[in-house]
Amino acid sequence: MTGALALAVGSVASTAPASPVVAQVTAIEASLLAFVVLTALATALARDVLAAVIVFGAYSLGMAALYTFYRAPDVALTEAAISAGVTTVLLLLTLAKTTRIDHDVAFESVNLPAAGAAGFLFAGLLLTMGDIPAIGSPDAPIWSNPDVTQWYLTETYAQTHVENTVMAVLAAFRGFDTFGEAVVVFAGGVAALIVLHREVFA
Amino acid sequence: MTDAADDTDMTDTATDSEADASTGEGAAERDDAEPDLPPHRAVPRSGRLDSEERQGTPYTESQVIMPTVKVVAPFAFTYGLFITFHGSGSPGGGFQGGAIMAAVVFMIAFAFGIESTRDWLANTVVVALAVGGALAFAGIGLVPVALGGAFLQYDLLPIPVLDPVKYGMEAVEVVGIAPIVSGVLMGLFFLLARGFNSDGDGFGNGSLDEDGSIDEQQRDEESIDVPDATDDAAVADGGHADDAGRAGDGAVDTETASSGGDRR
Amino acid sequence: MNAALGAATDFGSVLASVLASGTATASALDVLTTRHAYVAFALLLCIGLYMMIANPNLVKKIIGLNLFQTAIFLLFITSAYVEGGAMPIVPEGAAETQTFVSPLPHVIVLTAIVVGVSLTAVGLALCIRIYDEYGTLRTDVLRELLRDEGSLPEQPAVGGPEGGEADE
Repeated sequence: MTGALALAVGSVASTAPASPVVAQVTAIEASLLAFVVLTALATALARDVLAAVIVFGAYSLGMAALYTFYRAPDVALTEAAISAGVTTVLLLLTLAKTTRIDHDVAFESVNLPAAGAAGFLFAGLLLTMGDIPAIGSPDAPIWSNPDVTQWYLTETYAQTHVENTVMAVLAAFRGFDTFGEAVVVFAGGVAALIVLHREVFA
Repeated sequence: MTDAADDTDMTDTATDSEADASTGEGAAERDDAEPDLPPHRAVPRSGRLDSEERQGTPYTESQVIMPTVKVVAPFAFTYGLFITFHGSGSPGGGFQGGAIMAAVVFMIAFAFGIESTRDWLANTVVVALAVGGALAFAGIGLVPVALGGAFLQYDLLPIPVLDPVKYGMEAVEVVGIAPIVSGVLMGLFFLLARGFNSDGDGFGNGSLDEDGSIDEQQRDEESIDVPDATDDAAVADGGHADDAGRAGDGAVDTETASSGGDRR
Repeated sequence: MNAALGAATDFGSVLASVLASGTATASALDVLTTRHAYVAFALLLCIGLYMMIANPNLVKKIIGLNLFQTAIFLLFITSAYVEGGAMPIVPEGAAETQTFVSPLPHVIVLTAIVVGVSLTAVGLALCIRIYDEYGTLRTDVLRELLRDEGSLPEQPAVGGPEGGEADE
């Protein structure tokens, strides 16, 4: 069985094409990624739930900055407003409605079997990293296939007269999915009402 | 700070909460009916949100938060509107704008009190935003179907002068998505702030304290009793003592669970 | 159990040999410099998974779920990025001359963020309800309470007929 596993890994590794050289990691990107990972670790290991919620707000802000760095301003706006704003507020309200015990220790002890399972998943994901195209590489399939991104970029203004391609894809090209999503948001509100036995939002 | 005059029970409907908002001015008759109103309910409900007579006991004594929110809130709300309306030419759109507008309401609620904001922004407004947005989106999508096309086929929309595709998309974003997102997020905020069993029966005391802090005083008193006495919590001793040895909160919670069971 | 442990150690040795020998197309250092955001995505995914499994507090489990979700969003946004690309605001006729990042994964992530917040809100409402009903937010204490209440079957006896919380 191990022989079969080694064979599979070897075949996967050898058939992947060599990736072209792309620009190396910049300092700001590395520091943003490090900040995000460190705040996630602090969220996981904080003993007090309130501390975990506040560090989670900082993590969301770091993610919004990271999305801005990867040229995704719509997503960064949404992440900052919703994750760093609304989710943090809802978590704090839940803490106000339930309980929060004061602890003496700042960090909790690591649960080793769970860490082992997570580490196993991490190792498995790392094995696949060699095959994903490098970040920013222009011959990723999303770019090399002209029917995917290039079509949307050229046809957006021609068909919809709107410059924001994300909004055009959301409202025009994939409008039905957006309708489903809006209804899901509404259904989430109704579900929260049902869970708490209320008929009004107030 | 329990809502003794709270009548938003399970039988409440939207019309009742309208009556709620309108009888806010006539607090005199409520005083006769419910003599033990909390102080912030005993003052008449007219005038500006931050005036002394409307605030009663201030929700937060911070002289920094209230003026800051007074100054920042209009600009933030206008920015949210700008992001919604200009979503076709710059990053933005309905989701972002709706979330920012909801966040402005959260900010106002933090500065001036959740109860005051709840009275100012009646439930009807929140529900109307959410439901109206969903209906508008569905309506704009179904008009082309009625005219013989596909769902959300914008070029069949009967808009007289303007470009139907672009303005159909704008309408969907501004009139459909932004109200849904802002309405639902505001509603969720007020819903979670009210909690469950808001007449004070819940373990979390039903609401935030006067100065806005989490009411952990009650928990700390009980956390002193260590769980050796909690064999009435109907858990066998062996495993439970281990639980308590690891962290005191498990014991506290089962202590309150047993007392809560009596209350039920 | 022993077979699974043996398989795990075998897997570990295979992984070590693959990473160390350099027969993989991208060696470890290469992965760290060219696919750094994917490595961060894997780390965040595993941290979120760890929080969901290991923390007994229900609110922390929901925070772990959110961590997991944002890691997936990072994967999508990173896959859309192209070197030298601009934001996907395309003026008329600029699509042929300028490079833009792909807007399609952005749409997926936008939808997912908004759906995720409504999911979080329903989960938190459930937490409030559970706290109001049982007085605790810890899953181990909840399990004991449910077992005593009769909603959960008794734990199968490990050391005798008394019921087995001796191993807790």
